[in-house]
Amino acid sequence: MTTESVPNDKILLEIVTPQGRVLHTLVDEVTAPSVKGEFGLLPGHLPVLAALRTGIVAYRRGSETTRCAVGRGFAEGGPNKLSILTDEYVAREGLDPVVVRKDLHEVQAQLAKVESAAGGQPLAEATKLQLIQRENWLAVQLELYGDPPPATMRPHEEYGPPQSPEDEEKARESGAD
Amino acid sequence: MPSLKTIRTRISSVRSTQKITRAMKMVAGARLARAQQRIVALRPYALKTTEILRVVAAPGALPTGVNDSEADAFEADAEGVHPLLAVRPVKKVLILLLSSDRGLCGAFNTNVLKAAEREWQARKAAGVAVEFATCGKKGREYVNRRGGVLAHDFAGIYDGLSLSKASLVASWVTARMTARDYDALVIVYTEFKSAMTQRVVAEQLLPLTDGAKAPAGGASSDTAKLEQAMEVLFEPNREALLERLVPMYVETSIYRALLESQASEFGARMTSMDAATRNAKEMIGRLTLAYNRARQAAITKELMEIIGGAEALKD
Repeated sequence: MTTESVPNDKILLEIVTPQGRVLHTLVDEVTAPSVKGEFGLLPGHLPVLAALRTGIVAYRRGSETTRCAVGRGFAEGGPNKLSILTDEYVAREGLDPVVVRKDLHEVQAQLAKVESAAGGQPLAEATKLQLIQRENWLAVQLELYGDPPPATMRPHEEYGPPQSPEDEEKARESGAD
Repeated sequence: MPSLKTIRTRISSVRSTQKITRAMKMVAGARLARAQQRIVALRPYALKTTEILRVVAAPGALPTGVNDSEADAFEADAEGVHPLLAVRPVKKVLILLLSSDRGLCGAFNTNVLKAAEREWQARKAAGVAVEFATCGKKGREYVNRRGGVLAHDFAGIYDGLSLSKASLVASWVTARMTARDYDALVIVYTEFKSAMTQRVVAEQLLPLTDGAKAPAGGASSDTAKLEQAMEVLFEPNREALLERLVPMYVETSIYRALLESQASEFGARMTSMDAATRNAKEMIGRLTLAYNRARQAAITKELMEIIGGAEALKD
């Protein structure tokens, strides 16, 4: 990591994917999709290490907010720095909704096939999980573009969709956390 | 002296061969450049994954009920220990063998298969059962030829190699390890140093060793890391993070090994095709000289016949 001095009122946001470091910029505020729901990060935040679900990362520079889509991964944050480690990244400019919609259609067809076939073998399960992850990733891209995802989206990740506030209260009270 | 026609045919055949080897060399060179780029691009991601894993799995920072010492913390039966971190007595080992699908790549496959053989014999001598998983046809052929147990062959893994393909391998492996089918995983692959130097390594990837999960350095850095780990807000919680991190670390390591192996294959092929092209050129040169000698000898012979015939007629 370069030891550039970051001004106290800013966050150094970087996104790292297997293809390399795709984003490296100073921002005022970041919102990231953790598995427990979206969380926002302001400069001076306590060190945090969160698991991220496939979703949208939004960062604000002044009055201008930019949104981008990321896959599953982690967010590691210090007081003035946030590193997002993920396997997929796309900015809105790089999106072609036609291609994404076509891929989504294909993946859903494949999923239907895999689900109807007998499950249980580890390789089939792994393929199914991959297809679901791919479907989520395509749906998030459409969401970034401004297209609502189709209603037949499968539940995200292994943590399920974000719980409503009442459910979360109940879960916390019963000491599940 | 062979006839003119024979030599001419031979020259033309070597020339066509040379065209092929030159083309193969260029293709391998281009693919090598791209593969190297991907290895370099993967590095920040791989380093960060290891770094985060160290913070999350810092020794002694795991749930209470577990001793502080490294060895006890990862006892297989200790509560809440991730099965991929657990150190069990090793009775069965899975060797993941990365070879190539095609040949004409010099000593690439020979070297990696030799290393696999060494690892196999060493384990056998220690009384450990060995099974193989292969990526690459040459490896599969080797295992079948030597009568090893082939648990799985990942065919076509090098076509369109990507993280998601590597994750298919990784998820198969982690599923088997979690089901305790194997007690350890060793990857035998070729590390890429340069187009001419490749080094074969046999790395034990699972269970994760101290080098991976514990920070390097003495006790002071341990406590520093521990304090650092204690300060950090884990979301949702440390166990869930570890649950996701460990497979990710395995996936990244396997992907890196596949990329390095592929780059080594291209490097070896480029070098060997380059040598073949040069040899072909040299052979063409020698044959051309022989051709010219034969041509001059033929001319001389014809001349002598004509002159001899003329002399005979004169008398």
